[in-house]
Amino acid sequence: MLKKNLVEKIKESLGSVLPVTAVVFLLMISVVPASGELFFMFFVGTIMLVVGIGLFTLGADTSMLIIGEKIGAKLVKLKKVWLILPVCFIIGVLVTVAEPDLKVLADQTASIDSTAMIWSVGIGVGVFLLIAFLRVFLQIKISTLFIIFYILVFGFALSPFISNGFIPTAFDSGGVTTGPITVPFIMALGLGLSSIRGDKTSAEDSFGLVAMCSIGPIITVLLLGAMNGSEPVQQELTPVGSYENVSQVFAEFIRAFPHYLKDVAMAILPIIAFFLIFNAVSLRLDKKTLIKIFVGLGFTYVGLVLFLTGANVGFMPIGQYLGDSLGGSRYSWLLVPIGVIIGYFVVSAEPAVHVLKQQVETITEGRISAKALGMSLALGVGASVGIGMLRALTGISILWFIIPGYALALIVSCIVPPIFTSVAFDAGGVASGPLTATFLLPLSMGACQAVGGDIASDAFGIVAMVAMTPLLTIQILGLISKFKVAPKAKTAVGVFPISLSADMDRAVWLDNGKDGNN
Amino acid sequence: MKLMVLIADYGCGQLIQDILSEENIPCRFLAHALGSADSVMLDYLGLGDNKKVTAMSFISDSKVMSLYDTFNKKLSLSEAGKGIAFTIPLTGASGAAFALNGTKPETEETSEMKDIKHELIITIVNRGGFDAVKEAAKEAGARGGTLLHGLGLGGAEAEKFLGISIQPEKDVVLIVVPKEDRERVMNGILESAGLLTENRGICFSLPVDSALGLAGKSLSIEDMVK
Repeated sequence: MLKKNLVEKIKESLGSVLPVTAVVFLLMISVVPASGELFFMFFVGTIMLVVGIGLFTLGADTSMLIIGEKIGAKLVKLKKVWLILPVCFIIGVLVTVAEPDLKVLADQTASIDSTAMIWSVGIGVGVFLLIAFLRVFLQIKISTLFIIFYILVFGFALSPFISNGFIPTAFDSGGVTTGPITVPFIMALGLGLSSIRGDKTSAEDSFGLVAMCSIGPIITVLLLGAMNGSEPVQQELTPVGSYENVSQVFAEFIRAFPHYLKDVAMAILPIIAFFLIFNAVSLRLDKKTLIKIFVGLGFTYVGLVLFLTGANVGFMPIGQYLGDSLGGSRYSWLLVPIGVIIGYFVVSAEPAVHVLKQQVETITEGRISAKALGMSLALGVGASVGIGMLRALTGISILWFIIPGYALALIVSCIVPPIFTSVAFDAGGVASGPLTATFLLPLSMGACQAVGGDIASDAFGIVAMVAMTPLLTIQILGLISKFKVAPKAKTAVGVFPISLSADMDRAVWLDNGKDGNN
Repeated sequence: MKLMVLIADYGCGQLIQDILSEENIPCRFLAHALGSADSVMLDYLGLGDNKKVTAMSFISDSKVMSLYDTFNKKLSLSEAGKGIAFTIPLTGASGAAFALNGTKPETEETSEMKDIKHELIITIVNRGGFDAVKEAAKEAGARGGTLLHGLGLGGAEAEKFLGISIQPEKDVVLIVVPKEDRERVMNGILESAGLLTENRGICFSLPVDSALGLAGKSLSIEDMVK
């Protein structure tokens, strides 16, 4: 069994990283010839990504997910609103303020005190995690909340109080809260909450927490911006370093390593601390489960450090190099189709995407398969990177895409089965993970610089685009499934208490009393 | 009329559906389940995870043999560790289920109890009690088990909290044992996970009148199916 499971895990992580590296490799030997050092760098980065993502998914399953689920379930079982809501708030603040990406973002925003920025984002997440739990208790439809809050966000962002340069920072702050450590944890809280319920909305209520948590910071940061009258954020592009030999490349990896050791530890420690306290006070897990959780935490930690080092050192320069050389060549239009292809494959290599796909498949007992979800995500991100490249080359304003995109997503959310809406909005946050930041963003920055565009406004929107398109593609998946199975599913589920197979038609035949022999 | 239960590796879900669909078996239910991990070490490392899929369907007696044959070919159930299939005689089922199989409700006794070689022990314990059940069953000689997650129904335990209802989480453990081992295994389970323990388990057994793929034995179909 060891061998079988190990082989499975290795196959899984190879399958998620190799496609995108194959595409990039092909580009590097054909359209944009790269130096041997770059190749080597990319090669080492790829290996670190494969090992890292493998360890991460292995560890997250037995640590972050278990911790989150146990806490979520236990919280609700306490059945004391005055206790649950403050705890939710504290969890939200805790997991956010330690996020390393948030510190980077706060430091970039020169005009605002970085401590104020970090805490306002943390409070934003805390409040919205609280709202998300409250929503489940009060059984308010999640699409209603999305509509209200997104109208608020856009109304606010487009109002004269906010300077234009501040908008990307606000949206980015929503993105950084959904890092590879917080996503599994917050998602698992939701799963735990619904795991002890037997009512009909429990499956759809499992998701949506991550989505809610990424709205909060946008609003609080916009508020902060309105109060401070902030200047546009300055973005600079550090040139790709040139390496004379392989040992220099190695040195680069070694140098970056301690940095990520510290970063990941910073992000993971508050969750561990909270868990230990919660466990001592209320959960009291047995020794065996605790050992399992801590071994898993070890895997998660090592995996994430490897992944982030590999992505930042090995992938970032390549992304920038690709964008720069293609954008500067006569074939700059090639960036659009290439972007679509890269986007299509890159999303499967995001660590949190695995967790989402698996959890969705488990909760829906296969009705939304990991494969279908992965496909919709890939199509969505493919489209968004294509559009991102188009923007980098032409400088079309991002608002032309974001506003109609969100408007459409919100309209569609009123008609698709609710579970698709919550999964889609979660997926938006999940898809824009560390690889988006270390590979797609440099790609578009490189391209933008090569054609002489404005990096801050033309290149940066790619993160927001990656977060937006899954809202559409996954909800479309929901629309398709609605027309295929929904009318029948109702009777079937009503009759049989255990979950039904994905192929419901036949199960339902039974209710209609038709002949089964044809 | 029998209830056929098939437990196999998680990845086989689609294949099982295809097989049942080809064989015109209607009314199939698929549930995700967990097998018992082989070693504590693997479990700690997160590699003991043993996801299974459990399929249940109603079939007529005459189809048992040919289905076992197909399972054997396509899922190689006769090899140890690939999965098991077994049938439980039913004393009743809703009218439509019978009509679908093209058989009439049987009036005679479905099965002679003396022909029963195996029994299915079903244990329902509070969530988290799976380990206790597993250990006890292993000690008493059972070779493996399957875990399904369930929620308890029932007035006293299920409670309302604002807009949602909270139900006690249960573990449902399926264990197939030879008939002569049944009592020993059940006693073992009740001792470590029974109503008097914190796991509050209840335990009952059903007759299994045919089985395929029980661990450690590669019995031919002829041996298993009368």
